[in-house]
Amino acid sequence: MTDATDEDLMMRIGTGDRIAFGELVRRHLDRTVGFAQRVTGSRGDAEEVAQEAFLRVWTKAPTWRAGNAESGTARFTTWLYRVALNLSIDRRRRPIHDPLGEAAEPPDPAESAVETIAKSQLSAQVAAAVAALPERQRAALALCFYDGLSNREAAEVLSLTPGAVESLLVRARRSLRQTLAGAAAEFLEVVP
Amino acid sequence: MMLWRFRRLIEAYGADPARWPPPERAAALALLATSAQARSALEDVRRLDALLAADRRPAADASLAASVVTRATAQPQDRAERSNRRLEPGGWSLPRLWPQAAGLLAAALLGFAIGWANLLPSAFGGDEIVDLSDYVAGGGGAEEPLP
Repeated sequence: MTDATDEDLMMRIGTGDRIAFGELVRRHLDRTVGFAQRVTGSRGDAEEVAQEAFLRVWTKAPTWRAGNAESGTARFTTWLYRVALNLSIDRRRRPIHDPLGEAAEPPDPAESAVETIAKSQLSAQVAAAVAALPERQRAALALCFYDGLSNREAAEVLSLTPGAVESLLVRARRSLRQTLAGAAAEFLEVVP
Repeated sequence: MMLWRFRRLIEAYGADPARWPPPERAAALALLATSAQARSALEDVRRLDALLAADRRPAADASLAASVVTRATAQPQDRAERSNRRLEPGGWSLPRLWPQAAGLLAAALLGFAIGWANLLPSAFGGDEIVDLSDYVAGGGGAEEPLP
């Protein structure tokens, strides 16, 4: 099962195979929630987005078809990211969000309390700065920097050209560099 | 690779060469090996990467995964479109398509017949076509002066 490609699993899910569905959820739930959280700015919304996205995986599997195999296994993930992106944008446009950083990463027991607090504060500052970016810049950054998609894969998800994705990334990172200049200096004082 | 392109590359994709677009990676690494300016620019970008990496998200917990599976599999799968696959390229079948094909052929024949009939000399004869150009050009009727 673990050797099966995502596309193989989708074919099996299309026949009602719940075990294959469980495996696909296990593979992609973390990244779907993480991506949705960066786009929506809310952990609660991100989990709802993931629920809805995987519901679509289940219901659409019988009619889903793998795309051109040119880019290998990226096809299912590209589709899943696109579903998650659209759901996240819909959520983001709703007026109510729960607070950023509500689900911080658990502290590392090897860190001092000061370091833990500093890292937690920095994480919240970075999350807030990313959340303040325009929608498409935020999505491009989440896809390429945080989730490690190539510019071509991100371009497919965003329905843009690779050049346009590159421009979004440049603008996003320039903006973050300015916003986070103060945060960087403070952080380096505590955690050199 | 020119320095300006290298700067833009790392501004977009960060300091890790693994994230650079493969077609440009070798040229960027070659420039990095020879240019102190490129190395300095990369160091700046590496600091920004480290800062951005501070935004870490916790893994989804196991109860969420269980909930996703339970909620989704309680829903029926969409099988309606599966039967339509036979209409898609590679999977269509002639017996299902013949009524549509026959209709299309009939429409094409009718269109051809109408077009062919209009190409034939008019039933009224070509001489009876009235030349209105004089009227339009002003030769056939006094144009009302503008107020």
